Amino acid sequence: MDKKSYLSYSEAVILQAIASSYKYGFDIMDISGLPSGTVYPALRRLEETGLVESRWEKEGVAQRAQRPARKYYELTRVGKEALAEALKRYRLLDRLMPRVPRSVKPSTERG
Amino acid sequence: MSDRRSKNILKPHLWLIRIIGVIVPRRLRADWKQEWQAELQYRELMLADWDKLIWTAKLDLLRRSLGAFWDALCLQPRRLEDEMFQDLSYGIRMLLKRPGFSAVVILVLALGIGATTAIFSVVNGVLLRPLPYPEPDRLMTVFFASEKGSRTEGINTVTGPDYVEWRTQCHSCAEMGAHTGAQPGNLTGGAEPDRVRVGRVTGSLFATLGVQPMLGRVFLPEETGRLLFNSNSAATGNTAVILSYGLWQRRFGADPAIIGKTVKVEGDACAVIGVMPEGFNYPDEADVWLPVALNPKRNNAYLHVIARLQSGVTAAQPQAELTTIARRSATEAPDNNQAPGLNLVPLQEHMVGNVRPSLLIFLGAVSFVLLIACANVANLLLARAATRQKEMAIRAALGAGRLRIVRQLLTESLLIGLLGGGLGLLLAFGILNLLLASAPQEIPRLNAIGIDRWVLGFTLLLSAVTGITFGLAPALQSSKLDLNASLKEGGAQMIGGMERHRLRGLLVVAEISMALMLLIGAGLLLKSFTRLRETRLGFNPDHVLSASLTLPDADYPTTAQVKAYYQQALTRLAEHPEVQAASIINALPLGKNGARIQGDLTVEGDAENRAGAFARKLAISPDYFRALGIPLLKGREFNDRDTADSPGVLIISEALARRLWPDGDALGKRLNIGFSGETWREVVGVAGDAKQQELGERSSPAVYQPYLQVLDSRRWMLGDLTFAIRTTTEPQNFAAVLRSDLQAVDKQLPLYDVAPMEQVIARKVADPRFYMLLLGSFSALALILAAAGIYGVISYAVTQRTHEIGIRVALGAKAGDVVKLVITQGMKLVLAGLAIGLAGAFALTRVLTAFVYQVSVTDPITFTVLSLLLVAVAMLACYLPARRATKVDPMVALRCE
Repeated sequence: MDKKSYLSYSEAVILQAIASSYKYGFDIMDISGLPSGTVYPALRRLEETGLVESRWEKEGVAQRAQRPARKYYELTRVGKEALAEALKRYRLLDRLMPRVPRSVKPSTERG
Repeated sequence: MSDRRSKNILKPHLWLIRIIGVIVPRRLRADWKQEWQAELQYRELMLADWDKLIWTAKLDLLRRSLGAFWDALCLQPRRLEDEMFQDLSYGIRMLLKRPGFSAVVILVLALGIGATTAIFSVVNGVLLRPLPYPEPDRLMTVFFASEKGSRTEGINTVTGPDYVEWRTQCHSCAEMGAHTGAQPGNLTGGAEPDRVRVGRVTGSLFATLGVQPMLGRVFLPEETGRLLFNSNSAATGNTAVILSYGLWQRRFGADPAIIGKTVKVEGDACAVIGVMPEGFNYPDEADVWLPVALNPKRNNAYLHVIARLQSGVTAAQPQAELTTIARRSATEAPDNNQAPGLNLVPLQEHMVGNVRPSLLIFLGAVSFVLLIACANVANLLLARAATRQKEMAIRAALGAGRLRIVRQLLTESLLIGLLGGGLGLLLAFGILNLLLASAPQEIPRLNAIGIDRWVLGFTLLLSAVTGITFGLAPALQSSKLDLNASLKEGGAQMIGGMERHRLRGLLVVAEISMALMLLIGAGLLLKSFTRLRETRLGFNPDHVLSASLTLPDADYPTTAQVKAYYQQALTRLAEHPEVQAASIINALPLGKNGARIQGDLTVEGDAENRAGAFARKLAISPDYFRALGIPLLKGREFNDRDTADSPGVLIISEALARRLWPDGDALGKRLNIGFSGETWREVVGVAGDAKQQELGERSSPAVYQPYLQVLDSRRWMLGDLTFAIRTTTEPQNFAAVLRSDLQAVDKQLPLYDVAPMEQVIARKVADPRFYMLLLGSFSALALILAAAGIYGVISYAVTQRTHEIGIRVALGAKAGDVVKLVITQGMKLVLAGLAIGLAGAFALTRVLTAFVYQVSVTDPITFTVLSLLLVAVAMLACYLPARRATKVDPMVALRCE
């Protein structure tokens, strides 16, 4: 069951986006240019195979902004290894997106 | 807040999420919705308030929310596991709700699966698991074809020159090696003398099998494979020995510097040149390997030949090639008496060929037990399905489709199957240990038996398949119901009940017939075993101790030295007051050691060999007949005056005497016992017949000579002798005395196979005893299960017919009538099962032909007795519910539905 070798390009891009702190589905779409119909199923797949894990944003933050809490994604240890492996194949990947994101904590940005 | 909420209502992208959310599996739905809504709303907030959003931004949000549809579609496969999870948790709840029922069902299955798994692991280890050598399918045994052309029967050994020719001339063989069967031998030097199994092999055998030594090297071509052999030379002159891993560990403490050290094997000082890897013991569990000497004579066939084929070559090619080579040498050397045909049989098949039929029979028998267990469980489930009819109807009324109900029920039975399989696996470990502990040692590859991943896979598959098998019928039945009728109180009981009852009846018939087949099989083996035990031995094994000893060529090179050793030993033994008679023989009756020789005899005055002049040739000491309790019918016993210098004398067995001289008088006649250099010897006595090789042998012709008169050139006849000592005390207690006496004569010689004669005979019946016990326990299990099955069906029927019985009683039926009514119903099933079972047994017991002794496989008594036993047990199983039926109170019965 070596999942690393089955990473598709779009999965690699998504992992790279999460690694670069684009942790929400829509942020990943924005930075990668992939459509939502690709990003979400891919995220579910990655979560199922244990490369990423998801958490809910703190309830308080969302309440203040009067919207539901968002779900964000993080790389697991296996995910990091898979990404490092993928970077060897897709060499330009880490130059694709700016390493410092626009907002590390998007929910506080609007404050 | 409410303001914002009302605005949300108008937003098409949020609506879209809500609509798409419907198709998301329920378990995931809330989370899924929240994630999408949060993202969309967050994005909205980031941009600006909805009203102020420009239309391209709105369109972008809508476009993104459409992606949610694809996301929801991708989650569809989860829906299945979602419902499966429901089915499963419901199934577990149902099992826990009726723990007694569940325990019985799981236990019954576990018995069936456990027994089947245990037998399968034996079949897997012995027959299926490939030999532990690289590319084992390229390994073939090569031997001369017997006349019948059968695959394994009549395997012949091969002569030295044949082997050398084959090895050098066969091009489709990559490598070829030869060996003799491993023989027990002495390993001395160092502490205690050790008894080891010695394999004599060519150096090329290791390469043929593809095995490398773990330490050191194997034999070089100059150390083995030479065409030299001198049967008269005393020492075999071996200088090199290879040790097995086990012996290296056990005796030499895994000494890493063992290579080059010297040990004494069969009296020869040999340098250890190699240690083989763990687990390698070919042939015949060998402990050490010596180089085999190749006899240049064409009439001495003693080698087993193994070839490794070139890759991609089928067996036909080397077969043709080797046949040509063999034909050529047959015409060159006309005295070669070997048949010119050749056979190649895969090595594995050759090794396990003898046990294959018995193992397959047991696998067949145990699958009968499993089928009976399945039928029983199906029966129980059918009965329970009746009580759950209402539940199913409610489910259906609430909208569950037929498939959904079947799936629910199948999930439950699969769960039962897997639980039964798990418990069965635990049972299998126990059964397997029991089996291996009691299995006859003759079964090849015993050490390859174990529970490996193949066995685990088999058990898993078995559990799943049985789960589905016994679950399918009840599931289909329950799902096919008339909603209206079943929802009404008890309405459909009679209609659905009839069909269900017919199915349960069929299952019981099947159980009875299979149980009868197993019973009859076991009965035949039991009868055959008793016959075997009752066989007249011809000697009295009570209070006789046997023990074997080998005199190595190197220390006792001449026949005279061998005789001197035994004379000394026998004199010492005779001095003990508890010894009634101490004797030696080259081949103990029903024993396994020593030179077991059989061959032609010549009667003085005959021009050519007389028909029936054929006997086992034995060398004994004077007290032998007294020691074993073989009666002397005529003439005299041997005595101390029958020495090498006195005229040759013989004693023959009654069977031989009757064959050669039917008119009676054998005494004074002269025979030549057919060894070269022999002269005429006079028959001085006739002894009673004693079973020599097998308990089942028809006749036991034997010719005895005094061991002191064995010719000097026949040293090999005396190299390996067995003591037979009649004692007044328990024979086991004399073993220590015997040991110390023999140590006093020569402390380098290990005594082996020290056992009372009773035990020697018990070993001889170990195989039939084991087979009988195995089949016996299967059939006992089958009988119990079948009885439980019929009890279940009849007692259920009684419950169903309570109303009817009540009416009958109210109309004046007596208790006897009610019992008759119920038992008749049960007996119809039993008789149907009996008829099928008897027919099946007639057809199937044929496979036991090779396993029974003096019993016909269609033995009418066995068939009748066991049918009656089954009827009796079934009758009892019917009687219990019948008696309950007589207790029915008509008033209560008429009131109940």
